[in-house]
Amino acid sequence: MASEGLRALDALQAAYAERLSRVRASAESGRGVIGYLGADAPVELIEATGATAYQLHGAAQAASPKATEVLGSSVDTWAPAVLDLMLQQAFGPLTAVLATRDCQSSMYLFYALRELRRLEPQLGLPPVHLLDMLHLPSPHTLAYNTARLGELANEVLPQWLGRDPLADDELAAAIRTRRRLRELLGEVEQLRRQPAPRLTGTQALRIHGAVRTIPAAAAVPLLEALLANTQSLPTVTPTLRLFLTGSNQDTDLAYVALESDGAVIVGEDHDWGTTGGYDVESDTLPALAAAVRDRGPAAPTSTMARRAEATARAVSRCAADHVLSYIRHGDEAPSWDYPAQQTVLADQGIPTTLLAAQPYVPDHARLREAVAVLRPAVSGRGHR
Amino acid sequence: MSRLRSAAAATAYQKDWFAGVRQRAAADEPLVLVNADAPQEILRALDIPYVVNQWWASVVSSKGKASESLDVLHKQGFPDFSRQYDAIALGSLSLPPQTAPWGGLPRPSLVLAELSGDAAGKVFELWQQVEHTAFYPLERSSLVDAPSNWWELVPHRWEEAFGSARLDLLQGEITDLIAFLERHTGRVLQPGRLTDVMDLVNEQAEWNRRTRDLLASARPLPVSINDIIPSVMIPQWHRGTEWGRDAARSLYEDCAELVSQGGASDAEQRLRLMWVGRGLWYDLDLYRRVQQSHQAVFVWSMYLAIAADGYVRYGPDPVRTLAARFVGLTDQLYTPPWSSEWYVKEARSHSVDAVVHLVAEDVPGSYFVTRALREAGIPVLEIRANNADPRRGGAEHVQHAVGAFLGTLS
Repeated sequence: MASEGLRALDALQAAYAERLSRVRASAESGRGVIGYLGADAPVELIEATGATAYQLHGAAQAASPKATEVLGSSVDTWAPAVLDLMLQQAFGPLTAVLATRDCQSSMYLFYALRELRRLEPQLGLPPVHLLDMLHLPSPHTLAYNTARLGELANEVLPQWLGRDPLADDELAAAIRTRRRLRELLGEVEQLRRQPAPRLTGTQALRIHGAVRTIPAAAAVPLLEALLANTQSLPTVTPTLRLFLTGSNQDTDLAYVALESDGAVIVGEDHDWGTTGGYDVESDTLPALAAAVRDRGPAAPTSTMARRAEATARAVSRCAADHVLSYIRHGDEAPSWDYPAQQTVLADQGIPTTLLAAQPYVPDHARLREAVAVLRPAVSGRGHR
Repeated sequence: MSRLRSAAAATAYQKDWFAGVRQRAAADEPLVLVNADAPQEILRALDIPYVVNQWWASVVSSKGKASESLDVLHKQGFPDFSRQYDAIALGSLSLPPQTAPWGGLPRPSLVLAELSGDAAGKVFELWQQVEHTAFYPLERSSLVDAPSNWWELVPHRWEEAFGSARLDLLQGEITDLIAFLERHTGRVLQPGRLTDVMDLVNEQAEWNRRTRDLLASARPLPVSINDIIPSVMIPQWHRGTEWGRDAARSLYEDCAELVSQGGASDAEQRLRLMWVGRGLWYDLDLYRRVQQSHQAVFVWSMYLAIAADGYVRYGPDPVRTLAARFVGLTDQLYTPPWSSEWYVKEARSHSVDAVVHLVAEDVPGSYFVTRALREAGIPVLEIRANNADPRRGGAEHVQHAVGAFLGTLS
């Protein structure tokens, strides 16, 4: 029994480490795989059709000249990394790509993919659609989001997959499954917040990343097995409890570097952690539209004030010693958030550090050095 | 090249108008700072004074105060390398009154803008730190489907061009905005007033179209882009007024007169150039220097062209028609394939020999614009610089690049 927890953890870590090869194999086997860009994607809708939803990401390589030329040098460096994998067919023959408006880089990538598909059909890029979900707390935005979701459910997905529009009970079942998944991910977070965490930040990031690549129905039993056997998981003793804010982390490279000398990332508020999810109140399309509208607060779609307050609450829940804002080159929003975050956290006695203009492929040694100098700022807070 | 009477008249009008705005603000009338992509026509119809954010940024930049304004934000810990065009006005509030352009921007009681991109909303959110200033955000929906030749669709077939979902959203937001402004200013939108404003805007747009078409075929070009830009843009910020409509007509009449006179040119116009992108506000004299040094005349900038093609909207419901004007205003200029199709259309109609493309960091799809023009057989120079922030690019860099480029053209 005890080892089941470790086996489940290993399975999730492997799903993350092998995500590219697995999705390629899945797509090549003829199983419908829809890649998606951004945390605003209603994964429930995709999974309700029977297709696999896969959140697109980059890989640890410098952007190609083509990707940089197409997207420009000012875009978040995450976007050219994804474009490169698309151009290399690294994800395999995807059925389609669903882009969202979670951030401007996702939108720029959508326009680039659509134009390249039109202008250079020999590239073999899949069909692409922009799901334009917006975030102001207004009934007009909700109506707009609901209309856009309806188009996706009743027109776009059926056309891509050659099937009928979704039935209400199909969607409801998918929403329930993902709701269960989200509950379990919340319990996973508790393992990180303990005085002696049973998961490192890297392990947690890989779990969040893994469940973005496999069907929820497959992820739920793995998480249940993990959570039923947490005593089998070894504890770690952090030399520093870090909270990570700033840019989304679609690879684990920064986490590995930041945790390489004893620090542990005990929480984060970017979209590849729990901030990337949303709570759907009922099992309906309008409820899903509302959930995506109210998701976050994420850096690109939230006010600075709301974001700072949310960061402070999350930091408190994690009993973090220090907050690190890690911002990639071209990622505008977190740079504007940082002063307000710094002020609110300072009022709570939590020091903050900004690492700006970071490359897409992190410099492992420089990140280790950056974390090393944070230690003298810690003064007995948290669980140390 | 002859100087345009309408350019001098527009500039003089603008100075008088701004002095009036300062007086009205000092008398505690509400003042709105509105982004160019937000529906100013509502403010016009309610007689609420407003200053367009991009216009003010261009004034601050042309007076050499952009760096100082951005430094204000930098000292507060905010990035001065992001959203400069949006942020200059906020920083300019801190300029000393004796050096602030035109006496300085009065404190607005409201800032109105769309949430374009990841950080625009945050820039405008900062205005709320200014005492008694509120921020009213509008959504920026996206171009999901892009039917071809938008300029043929938007005057009458805008439901087809933009889609009902986007129009429903902005129509609802504009309705709420009207109610908000009425509550907070005590002014009431009179029946028919918005229709009158919309009719005047369409008349102004039609005059701009005539001017654009006239100059596209004029050989040589009798007027400088330096005069065209203020002659078009200042009235654009006064859309919905008889003055704005009449100024657009005067511009056409001035140009027609110069064309009929044969349009004496100051120098041989060896090359016809197109400036794609925003105006280089801190160095508008670049266009004149290029003509003098290379006999290359800029025959096109987006300001007259978008005023000609991008604003006219006809429809029975003024609120929905206004939504149709703004819902995809920036898509027309910046979102491929709409942007690339339009620039090629304009380049061909103006018989352009080459393009200088000022690529902005906050604009997607620039690659596809350059690519489309090159595939149409038109050489393109791309310059990556900020049009309002001289620290990002700089006048010397731009001129050097343009000169080197022109030297490669036969």
